[in-house]
Amino acid sequence: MHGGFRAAMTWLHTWAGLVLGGVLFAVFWTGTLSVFHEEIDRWMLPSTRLTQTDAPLSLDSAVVPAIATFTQDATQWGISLPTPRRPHAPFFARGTDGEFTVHALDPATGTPLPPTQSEAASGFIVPFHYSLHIEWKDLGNWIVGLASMTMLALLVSGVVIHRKRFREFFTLRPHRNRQRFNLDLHNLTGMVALPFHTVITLSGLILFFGVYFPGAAELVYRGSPSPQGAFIGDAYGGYHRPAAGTSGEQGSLDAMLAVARDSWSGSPARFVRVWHPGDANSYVEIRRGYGDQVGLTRDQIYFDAATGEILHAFSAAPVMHVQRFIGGMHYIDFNHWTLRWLYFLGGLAGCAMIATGFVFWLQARQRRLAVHGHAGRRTVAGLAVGSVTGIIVATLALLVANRALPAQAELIGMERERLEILCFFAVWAASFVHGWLRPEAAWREQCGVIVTGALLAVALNAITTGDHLLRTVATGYWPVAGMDLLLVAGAAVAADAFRRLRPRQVASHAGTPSREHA
Amino acid sequence: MTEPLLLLAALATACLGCALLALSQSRHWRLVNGGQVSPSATGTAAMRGLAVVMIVAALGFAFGRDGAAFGALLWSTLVSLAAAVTALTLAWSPHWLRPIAWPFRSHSRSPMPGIRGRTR
Repeated sequence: MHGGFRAAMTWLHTWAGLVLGGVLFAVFWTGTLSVFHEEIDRWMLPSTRLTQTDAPLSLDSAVVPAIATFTQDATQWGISLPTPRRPHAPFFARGTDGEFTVHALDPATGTPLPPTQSEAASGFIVPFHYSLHIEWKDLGNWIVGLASMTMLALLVSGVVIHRKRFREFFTLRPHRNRQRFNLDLHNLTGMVALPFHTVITLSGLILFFGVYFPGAAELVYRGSPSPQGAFIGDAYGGYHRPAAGTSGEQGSLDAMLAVARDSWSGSPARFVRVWHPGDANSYVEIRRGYGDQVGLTRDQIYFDAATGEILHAFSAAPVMHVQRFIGGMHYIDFNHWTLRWLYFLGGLAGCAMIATGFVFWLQARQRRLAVHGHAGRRTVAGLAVGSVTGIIVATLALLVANRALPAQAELIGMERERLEILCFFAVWAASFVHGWLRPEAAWREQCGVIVTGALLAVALNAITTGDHLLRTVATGYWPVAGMDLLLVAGAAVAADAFRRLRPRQVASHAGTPSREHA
Repeated sequence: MTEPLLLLAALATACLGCALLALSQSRHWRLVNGGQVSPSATGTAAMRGLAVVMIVAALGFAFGRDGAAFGALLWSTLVSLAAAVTALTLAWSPHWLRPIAWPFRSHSRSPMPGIRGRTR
């Protein structure tokens, strides 16, 4: 009976991992990058490389007069206040026609920065992490959700299969044959980061409960004319009053920010929105920042725009507070550099675990299925190469395209930001074909491309922006210096892999497939 | 100044805890000390007990630095890092752990002279 259970778990682990391993690697890889999405944004959007001043930001004297042309006829406008990691202030205004005007502002002057012409990490890598950019019927969200559930099943089945390994916890044998080392690495990354992987996967699912459990609001708010609206109001908070149609005054936004900060025990705000600007019924919405707490707080205060009187203050209910805490654990929008790096390492461990899982599947069948003849193995080889090294190459293509494409680039009706993304997907698709055509050599060749691509990205950043490593390190401009240093480090790791993967005369070094698996 | 010190203390105790746990497993003990030296009669239990103390101490340092919410996240990720550091040390420089194993060595020779040291 017990052997049967373990065999069933092995079957599940092997095939679920194989089918969804590609999606899982893509989600883990983009998630790992998303940990530093603000820093990648600084690298990809040189116009936002502003030097932060310690001078307190004044909306009243600097920003409001500068944006008057955008806010004059707006039905609402809002500004995200700068954070320690984001020096600029994204701004939007919604016109009477419902159209949005969007700008990134220099918070010191209120003037719009030059157009960025790139989706960068916040617009491309982060949404890819949770939606794969498949928007049709939320299909991307559902695929990522399915992959997440599969990940949890893989973690549990992995523990069952390898439970004997817990007696040999900490075991890594790099000096033995490749297959032994690969399986040790798979088990080690799986075991040491098991708590992180479990929590990060589960919290990702809980973060998207609205997508995965869309009927929840209808169940609870059955009597309400708009169950979804009632649920959102109760859970997330909100306040609304219609415009009066007569003109009104705008009081001091800085004073309202100060009141909000005091009522949040010193926490700064992250977002300010003025509803019906210039109207007698105009009001101001201020939301609390995420920097100093784990949870994604929903604290918000609404002020009368003219008098500054508090109209409504919201704080999430206990259940929602728990959901926001779990969501915040996943989001890490808080200011904690140690944890940010530890999350990054945990994400890399996940990538290593998935990659070594793929490699194990291929190694275990290297002998059983004749290397070049078997179509199934060849297909898996292509899938594995494209999923692992391929998406890394594609990410580097995105960075290189970001620095190499001219400002006014346009091709077949696509603008610059679309072309960058086209580069990503075209290179990614090519990497799968490459892996299928050359199942044995592709790993090494793509490692070579990673070395070239990473160093090229660093060089292009230096050439096109002048912010080369010597300058950024000397001046302590760490967002860009860190990106460049990680690219160089990544190139070094890929170069080492390239060297180690050189073809050997005798291909029989790989040992026999382990009985533990498959 | 206390924040970096507390972080260092949390990392150090977590690493020490993981190293002691590893040494309490016979495979890693042999790898570090060679097959000629065995842990003392109470050594294995003492190593495990001290390992738990160390890992709990790391939790204390993490809480002291960051409070309960951030501290819990910091502690759980730091222990994972410490486990990885221990495994990498055992793989490439196991002799670094010899001073940690020293107090737990038996004074008599190994009763199992046939057991060889590191096997690669």
